[in-house]
Amino acid sequence: MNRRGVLLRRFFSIGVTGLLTLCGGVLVDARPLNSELSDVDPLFAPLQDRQAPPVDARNVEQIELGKMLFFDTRLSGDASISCASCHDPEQGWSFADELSRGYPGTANWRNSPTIVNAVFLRRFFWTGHAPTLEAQAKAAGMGAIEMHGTPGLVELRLAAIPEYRERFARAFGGEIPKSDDVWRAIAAFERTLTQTDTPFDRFLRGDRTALDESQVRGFSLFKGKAGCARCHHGPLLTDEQFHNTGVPASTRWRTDTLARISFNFMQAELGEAKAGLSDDAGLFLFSKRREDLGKFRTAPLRYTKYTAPYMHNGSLADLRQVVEFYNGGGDVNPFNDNKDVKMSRLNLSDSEIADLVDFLESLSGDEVRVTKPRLPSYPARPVDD
Amino acid sequence: MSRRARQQLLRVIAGGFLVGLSGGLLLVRSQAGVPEGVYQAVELADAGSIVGEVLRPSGEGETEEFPVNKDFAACGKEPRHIEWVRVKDGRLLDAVVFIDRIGSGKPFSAAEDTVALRQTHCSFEPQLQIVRDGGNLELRNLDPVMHSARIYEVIQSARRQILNAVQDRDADPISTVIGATRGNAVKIECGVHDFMYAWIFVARNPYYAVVDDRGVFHIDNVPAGTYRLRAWHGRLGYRETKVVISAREQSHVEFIY
Repeated sequence: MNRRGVLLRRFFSIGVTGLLTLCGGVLVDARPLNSELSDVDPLFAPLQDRQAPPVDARNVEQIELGKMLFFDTRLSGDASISCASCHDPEQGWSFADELSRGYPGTANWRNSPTIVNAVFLRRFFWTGHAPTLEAQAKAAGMGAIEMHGTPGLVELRLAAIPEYRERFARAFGGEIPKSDDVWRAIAAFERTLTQTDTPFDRFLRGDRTALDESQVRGFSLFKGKAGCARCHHGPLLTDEQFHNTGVPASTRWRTDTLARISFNFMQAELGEAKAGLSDDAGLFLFSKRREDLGKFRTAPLRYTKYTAPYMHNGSLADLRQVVEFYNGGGDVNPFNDNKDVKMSRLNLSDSEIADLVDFLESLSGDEVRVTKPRLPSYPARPVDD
Repeated sequence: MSRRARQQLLRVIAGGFLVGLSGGLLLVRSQAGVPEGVYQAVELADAGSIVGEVLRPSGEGETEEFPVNKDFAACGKEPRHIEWVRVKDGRLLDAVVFIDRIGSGKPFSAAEDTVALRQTHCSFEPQLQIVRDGGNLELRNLDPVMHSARIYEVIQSARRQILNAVQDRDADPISTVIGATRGNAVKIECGVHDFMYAWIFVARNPYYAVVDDRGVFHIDNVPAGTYRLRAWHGRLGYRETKVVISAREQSHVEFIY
């Protein structure tokens, strides 16, 4: 394309974007639902295991080892809490309280996201500050209000168990377990936790019966009047960007002493002890840019049927409350000056809200369950070092 | 009619409407006597009863093994076999059957106002008990090691924290109010020992029964009427049916899990 063509195309693109912005609640794609959107619409696509790592013998060993380590409490400081404690398969591979479970004697300060389909994300945690699954596992494994593990101690605990020694040797080589390999193995296991066969995926692949009438109406609202897809699009239904949608401050800072301590602790850890912040400032705590105050990553909407409650502080109990929250144009938090300008009242009727909730439930598929591994006990007598 | 006269007339109509509305509200309040949703004990002249079984035709139980990694003196060294679902001769154990939404009837007993939960040999005892909604739980640690009780109301797939408290050996009992905002289930876990758990069923009325060791339940002194009868199991959730109670008669109900 020549320069003139490029300029014309850019001009047209800016014009269309401006028009859509002016339209407010009217979304990018307002075509009739019956159009063949699955093949051509860039906003939505079925999720495929395209990023699944190659399965070779060593990888299989790493996955099996990672599964054991994921459920093993000996990775935590006082051997009481495992990855599965906050990412419980029976609680949607997340934790069902508003705030995640903390290390004994503490509370966590944020809601625990599910790890189902986490393999497809580009960054991790609500503020995206971990670039890989390995980095996420390490940060949670060593965090003071999470597992409070110490790498050297974890290595010695695992080395004291002959079965672990053998498994680490097969999976990674070397004579004794290394903590970095612990995180690698856990990440290898987590990469197997996917759910790509949902009614929505089947619908996008061409099965028009995969969604019922209410869900089809909900999808239309999702793309159109409700404006959800402005941020929730792509195969994971997230733009992976950061927004302040006006999620209200957690009430736990006022009612739960341990949660308040953790809130203050995390601000201090992130260099904001004296900032006087009255609520979780989100991305700002890492970027230190005021325009990031109160911003959190757009949550993927897959598997959410099993992961209530919702938002970074779990303040919305069910999917209906989530839709009602957006229907009201979001709420108010201490960083309201920074609230996303896209947030406005949607004027959805009760039946439209019900349709949207029905559609959201089509994004989850069956529960992902695994057989929990048998974990080896310490030997009766110490093994030779 | 002048504009001023119209405004005056509108004010009179609006004022009259508000007076009427507030009068109506006062009338409703005085007629009700007690706040809506609060159970009331009343004299019962003719009552019936419900008997039945909670069946588990598959006979399928559920167990899980946890290694013991520390605190061997208190917890022992042997792996813990937790029986999440206990079944005996096709009958489900540890289930509670209850009438949902009954406004009045027989009185609660005092035993339902305060219940005790012990932490001993790294187990919660008892593992299932009933407390009246808003009743009190007294938690004691009889072990020579620290425990960390985490108490949650279970609301479908979500949880609401009621208590998160570390309790050392010889510490004073911890007392907390147990209430359920939705449903009836409260789960207690230990943050230090992942194999420790207990359930509390929160009763909003005294029409409940824990199944006996044959999976049989019996609820008596039920006023005649039609009710929603529910069964609950901590691991397996709720089942529901309708039951019709006639005076001085016994109704039979089966639940299937």
